[in-house]
Amino acid sequence: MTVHARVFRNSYRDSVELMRIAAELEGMAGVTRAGLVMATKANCEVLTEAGLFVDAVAGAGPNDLVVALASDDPDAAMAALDRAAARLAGAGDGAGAAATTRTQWRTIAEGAAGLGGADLALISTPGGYATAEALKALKRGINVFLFSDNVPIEDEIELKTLAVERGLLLMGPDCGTAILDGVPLGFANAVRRGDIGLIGASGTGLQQVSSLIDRAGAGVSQTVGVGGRDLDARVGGLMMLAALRRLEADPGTRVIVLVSKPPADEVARRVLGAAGAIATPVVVNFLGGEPESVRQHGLVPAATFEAAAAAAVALSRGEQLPTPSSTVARSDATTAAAALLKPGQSRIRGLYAGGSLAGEAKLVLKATLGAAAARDHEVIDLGDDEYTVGRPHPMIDPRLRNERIVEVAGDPSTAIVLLDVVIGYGAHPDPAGALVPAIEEARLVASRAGRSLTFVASVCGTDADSQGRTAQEARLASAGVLLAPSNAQAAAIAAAIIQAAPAPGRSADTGRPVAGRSGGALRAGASHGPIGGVM
Amino acid sequence: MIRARLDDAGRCSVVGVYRAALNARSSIGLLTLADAAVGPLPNGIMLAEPFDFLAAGFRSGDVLWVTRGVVEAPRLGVLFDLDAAAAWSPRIEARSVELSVRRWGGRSGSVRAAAAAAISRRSGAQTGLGALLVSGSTPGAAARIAAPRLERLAAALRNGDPASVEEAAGSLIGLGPGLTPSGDDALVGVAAAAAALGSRETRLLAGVGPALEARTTLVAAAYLRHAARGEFSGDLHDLLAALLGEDGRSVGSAIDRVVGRGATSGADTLFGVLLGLDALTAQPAMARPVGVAA
Repeated sequence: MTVHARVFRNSYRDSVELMRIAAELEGMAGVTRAGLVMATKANCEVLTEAGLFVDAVAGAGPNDLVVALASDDPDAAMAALDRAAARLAGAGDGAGAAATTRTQWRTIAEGAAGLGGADLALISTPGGYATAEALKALKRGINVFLFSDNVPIEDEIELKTLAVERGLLLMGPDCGTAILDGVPLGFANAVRRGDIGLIGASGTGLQQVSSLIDRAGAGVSQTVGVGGRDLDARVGGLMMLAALRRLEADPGTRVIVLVSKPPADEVARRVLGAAGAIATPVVVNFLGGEPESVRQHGLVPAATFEAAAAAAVALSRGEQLPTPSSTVARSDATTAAAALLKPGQSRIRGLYAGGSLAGEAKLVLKATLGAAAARDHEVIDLGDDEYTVGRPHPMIDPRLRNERIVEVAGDPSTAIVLLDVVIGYGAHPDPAGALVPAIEEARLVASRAGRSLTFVASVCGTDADSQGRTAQEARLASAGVLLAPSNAQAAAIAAAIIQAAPAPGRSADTGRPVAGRSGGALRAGASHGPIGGVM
Repeated sequence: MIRARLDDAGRCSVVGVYRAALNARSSIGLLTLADAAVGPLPNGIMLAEPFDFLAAGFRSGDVLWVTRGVVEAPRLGVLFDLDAAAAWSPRIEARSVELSVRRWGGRSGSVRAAAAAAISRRSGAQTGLGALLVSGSTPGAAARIAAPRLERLAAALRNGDPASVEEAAGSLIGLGPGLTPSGDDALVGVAAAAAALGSRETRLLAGVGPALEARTTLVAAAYLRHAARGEFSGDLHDLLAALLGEDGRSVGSAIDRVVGRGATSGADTLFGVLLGLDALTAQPAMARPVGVAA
């Protein structure tokens, strides 16, 4: 067995790459052992210990990379070292990067001049710069999709006022979703084109409504995001009103849906008044808002995204409006799931990546279980600032939610885990695939404690999305997840299971783990007496 | 990096380009430009938006000019404007020692379990010292050599024996796989724990001197120098805050984030943090209030 080594001077390859190369070399025929280390004095000792030190390495310094391998076959060894050299010469240098000749404009002015006829600017700079860039675009007569957040409200008002004056759209700030003339912007789903126009202040809300419209066989003409703050009293719904006017004048739009949290009274009056005054039928989903005022304006109220989509599709087809059903029929699946619950398992844990979907779930739980009972359950929006400081949003990076899933599995009061799975442009390439290991681990954690968990989820998206809605649902189903066609129904299923559950046992068996108690796990089977006062 | 020093950096030479970051040598030390997802670094300029340095065409050998308020890459015609950048302090400030000791005492078991789980989940993290935290794992050659040295360091820290601390810590410099060798990462982790506890363990990084660059890689040396000044990356700030903070809810995600760094760097650093917290809170001196670290 001889040792062959090669030194690569001044190497700054990162560790992940080095590890990959080492693994590849060890897998090559004829290579018994391979080591890739920086030639520090300490590591040269390691190589010696591993029997991989040779003279060639003696002259190397701490910033030189040593590739050393043991092999009986000198040809195989040479081939392996050459392979290492090839890998090291590749990525990281920029030299291997695909050469694309594409002019890179660096300012709005250059882009506008270079493209000629550009009518949309997508701006995603840090908040402090965004206003200036948006102004540049608007002044050139270019509509703006403003993805940036942290734009001050005063700037938003100034920008939207200017946009309205110029007859332009300013979608944002913090606008994550739009589909204009069939072109998706930001996070959006591939939905069929049709005659329903959507205007919304909530990104995942728009995604859910548009996906459900597509699922029903209908289509979307335009999806206009107006930014989360548009219906704030100070902004006054400027962009929603502007978009309403646009869609009214659009021959391709025959039904309009408005989606938002309930606006301030004054803004609601203005928006509903404007919507009521146009000929196009308008469905209004102000999540958790009052339906009566909507009806008074001659508009169609919808309590959930699902109801909004259903109403819009009915209007588009000239059919009768569906009557909203507030209860989910108890099915075999819900009864079976309920029967599996142990005493003490009483809580629904909603772990959401989409804020609006979390809001909808909370609403459905309140409506089904009553406000008081709904408070026992926990629905979190993991995309909220408090969870995303310094890490990517859960729609892109599943790790945060995955670890929460395992965490709540360890809580004896958890009965059901409720999830949203959002696919489409901008989302993770395989959200279901990324969730399944966490679900399996969670089941393991619970089963070791003699519990079983029910997972309920809905996939927000279409089969035209790259991830494929059906494929994602199948993946989740194979992990035993109960699937619903919409987020509202998923929440309703979770509520139905709770309602079907056996009555809670003696109160001493229920309760949540006491946080902060030192000495490790204090189980919530707290038949140790009163929990209060231990902190 | 301290803003004022940045203005003098002048001409820098890019040495390593990765997707989310690039390293450059400068007269004021190693400089790193990184995209938002990497988080703040003690020697770093963090870009507010995602940036792919490889796709942008950066290469080793490129020249960067760092002058008042601006980082410029002339060959690519790319400019990073620093004027709107918020300053971030890389120093870990000492916390209440009594509280920290108490909390760590109650939490160390579950934290170790969480660390082992995170390391098992992350492919490759066991190649370095991470294997020493995961039961049933087979440590590689470097970890086997490092293990007794780490033990000596832990014992020396527990006993408050400065000469042995210096010897053991010194023996770890440059040891192990990775662009930042495992031993160095572990030392940074121990130093971060010491800073958070306000410990006056001054011999820990006595090996950080003019000859440091002869003993380990440029990148590792840079981080050791920052650690010697009490300066650490944002990940470590968050980790120590989670481990010693009030409610412990963010422990899992903070551990996961650190372990996710590099191939073994994160796990190695975490190893050091745990070693440091265990050893330093076991010191008899810790029972009394200690002054704030320099």
